[in-house]
Amino acid sequence: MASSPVRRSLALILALLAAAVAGCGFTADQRAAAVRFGEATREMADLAAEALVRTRQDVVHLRTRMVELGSQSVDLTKPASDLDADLDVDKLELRLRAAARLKAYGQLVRALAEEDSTARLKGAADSFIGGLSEVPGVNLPKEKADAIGALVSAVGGWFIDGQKKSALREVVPAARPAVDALIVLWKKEFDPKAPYWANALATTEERITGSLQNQINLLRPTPAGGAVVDGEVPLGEAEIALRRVRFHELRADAARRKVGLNELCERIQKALDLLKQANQDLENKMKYSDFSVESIQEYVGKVEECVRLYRVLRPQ
Amino acid sequence: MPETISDLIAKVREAKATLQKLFQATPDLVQKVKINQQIIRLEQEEDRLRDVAGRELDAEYQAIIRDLDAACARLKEAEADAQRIFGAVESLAAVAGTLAGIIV
Repeated sequence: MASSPVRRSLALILALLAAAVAGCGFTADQRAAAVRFGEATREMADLAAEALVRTRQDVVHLRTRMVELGSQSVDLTKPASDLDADLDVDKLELRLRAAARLKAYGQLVRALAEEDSTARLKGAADSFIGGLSEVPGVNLPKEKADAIGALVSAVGGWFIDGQKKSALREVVPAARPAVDALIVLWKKEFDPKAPYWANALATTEERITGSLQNQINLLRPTPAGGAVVDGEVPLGEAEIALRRVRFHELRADAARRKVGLNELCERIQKALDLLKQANQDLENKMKYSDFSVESIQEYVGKVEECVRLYRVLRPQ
Repeated sequence: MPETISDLIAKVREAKATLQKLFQATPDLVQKVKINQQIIRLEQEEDRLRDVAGRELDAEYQAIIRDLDAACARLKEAEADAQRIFGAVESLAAVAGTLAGIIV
């Protein structure tokens, strides 16, 4: 049977479409990388925010108890040695803002890649078929109407996804160094041995078992009318005994909080490793995965779908 | 090579550990009080140094926030573009359906 001009045109359009889809839309592994990145950023940002706030709260709590026990290590007149030590509110706000930005960025990446425009365009396809069927004399069989609907959804979807992918291809490599830099900063902040955020709690605990314990051990009952050894408040035996009990409670409390924070820091270090990997993987997938074995299989599927639509739509 | 804040903190901690050993070894209460006051002074110096170290990170945080803000703005713009295209495809689809029907 000779090809009619309509058939040739339709075949040409579908062939061009099949060729064009290769560059449009996200591949499954690109979507998966964006979802993993979105998950990793959400988990990391939430963990970091929890650890930042919790460390400061613990430090303020312990140092307040230290003051009550007469610690001279806490000095309310010096900003770095007051109740929150060096964990000032402005520092906390800045770090929480960075966590919130990371989370927002991860969610945007995920939303852009994950949202399936093809499915959302079904309404547009239905309008197209509705428009066709309203024309007097046009009687479209259901099979052809479905094929046209699928074609409108697919083409629109691929085009919209292509636009989104192009934006991600531009943004992801540009933002990668910022995410990596934040990972480096948080590796330091949440290493209890490095002199940054989490270390403030470890240091506070050391002060309790260090200079405060020394002070408590130096307490002696006041001789009648005489001066006390620490030179501060005259203390009786009962008061000294009470302070010692409170000191032991505080020491146990500090040790417990330190263990809790150390566990949280370990989780954070692991989550940071995962985020680093997800960040690298996202960039690699956005750059190179268009021509992976999996993505070529997906294109084959798309081309097969185009061929199927052609078979349904070609003039009999 | 110039000393880093971490080097200085390490030195302070070392001095503190030495004083603590001295505190344990000294039987005299008055001497112990004096040694503990030295330890407390070193602790406050350590606090100050740690504050400086933390402040040094602030500029890096600000740069990161700026970059992530720019990335978010670009992605929101892309999402808005996609929504506009989506709206246009929807409107066009209805008109195109009618036109295609007439042509066919």
